[in-house]
Amino acid sequence: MNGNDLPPVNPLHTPSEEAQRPAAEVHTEPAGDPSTPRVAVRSILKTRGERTSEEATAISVRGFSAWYGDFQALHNIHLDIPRHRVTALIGPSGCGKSTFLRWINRMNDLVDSARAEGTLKLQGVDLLDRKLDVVEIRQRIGMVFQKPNPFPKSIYENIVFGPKLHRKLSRADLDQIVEVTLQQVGLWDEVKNRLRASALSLSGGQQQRLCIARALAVGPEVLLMDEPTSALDPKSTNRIEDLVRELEKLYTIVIVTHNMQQAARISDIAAFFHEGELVEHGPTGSLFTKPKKKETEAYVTGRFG
Amino acid sequence: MSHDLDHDITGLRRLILTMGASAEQRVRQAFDAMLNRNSAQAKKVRASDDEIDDMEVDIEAECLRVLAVQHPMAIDLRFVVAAVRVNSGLERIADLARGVSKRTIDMADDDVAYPSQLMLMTNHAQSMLGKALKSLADNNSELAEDVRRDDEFVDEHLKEVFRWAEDELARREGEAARPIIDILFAARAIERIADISTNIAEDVIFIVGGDVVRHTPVE
Repeated sequence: MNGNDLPPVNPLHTPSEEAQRPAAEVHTEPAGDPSTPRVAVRSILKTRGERTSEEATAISVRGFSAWYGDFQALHNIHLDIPRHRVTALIGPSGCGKSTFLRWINRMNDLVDSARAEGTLKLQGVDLLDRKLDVVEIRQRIGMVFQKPNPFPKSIYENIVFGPKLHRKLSRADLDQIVEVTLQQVGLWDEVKNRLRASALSLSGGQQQRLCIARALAVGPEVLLMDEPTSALDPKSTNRIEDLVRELEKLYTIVIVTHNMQQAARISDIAAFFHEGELVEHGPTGSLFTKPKKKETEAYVTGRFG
Repeated sequence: MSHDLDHDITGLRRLILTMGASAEQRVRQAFDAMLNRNSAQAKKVRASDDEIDDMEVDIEAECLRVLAVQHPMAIDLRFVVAAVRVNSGLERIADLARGVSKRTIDMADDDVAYPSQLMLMTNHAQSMLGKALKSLADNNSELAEDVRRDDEFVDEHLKEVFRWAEDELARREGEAARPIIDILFAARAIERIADISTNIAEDVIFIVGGDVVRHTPVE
């Protein structure tokens, strides 16, 4: 081909190729920005020992199956949830993604008929171990729900509720935790003059950010989010999405979402569940542009589910 | 959403194929006019570009609309992105057909016989465009691979036309060289049409399987 003396036929070719490269790198380069100050609820609390910073995998799932009575909700799941990344669980209703999320911090302990097999480990700690203190698991693994569910208490009390439960802290420590966590979720400036006001006086989006701050206040490593924006308006949704991207630098985040675009926007890894099986998982960019499995293709293009 | 998305994708596919048919017709007319030295027909091709230009603008707007409104994913996303490229390629092909027609008009009174390689590459290029559009219509990546293989022949033929022209130019001077230059320019445009048809075929391979083969040698 001898095309040197003519202009390129299709000017779109070059930019589109270039645009693909940085996107691909997003998934290989650590997203954490070392210059970002590590806001440290954890150092205030002076809690647990060293976190294993070399470990790339936060939660390791092997041969995990779960049942409600006779109904098998999850079948033989194998998945590594990477540390300090956003992992999105997607799939049609009833596919098992919320069940999976709930097993990660043992929410299913409250369901009599629920049982599970296989391994589910957080940094080597077996999360299914019945002897393990569920309260401690939930200190390490926070959860944010679909609907904002602040306690009917003051903004301040919502945040300090968890930390006070776990250890004795001075008033100054508590004040600092409140300020730091509210800063982290971008709520501080909006509420700093009315910390004693009822949390229920906040808007829906503010309530959800408060719930995230409440989850962060106990210094978790992992944040589970079950459709955290499905009850919010677009603007509040944007704020939460931005926030998730920020928090990723400090926390491992697992998010269940029905909003495909949201999963595409905010996650690094996407895992597609269907009928209790983990059909496919991988870098979000690939899963949404070039899924490997027919079922994934059908789901992400909106042809079923 | 699924129904609307299917509707939009089908509509966009129809638009692209209509544009493809127009470009293909333009190419056929331009090639026939050249091979038969029919300058009246060549003039018609020269005069008929507005319609394709309008289609290109409309199709691009439709691609943007579908992206904005439907947020297509996976194969649908690949299709819309490829449609943007194919659209611009087809417009370029129609332009090149006009270029060939301009040379045909200039060559109307020449008596230089075309080299046989020019006729061969013309047939190849036309069949490649036809196959590329058929592969697009049928999502047929095997047929698209065929088009990629054909491109080599056209490149070879062009080189032979170049060699022929070198010999001819060595024996001519001044005005006598002009018909050879016209033939060279026509051959060059025909080779570009084959190239763009190959790009369209590569976009079909991208749509079907997500593989980018633009820079991969043909097996």
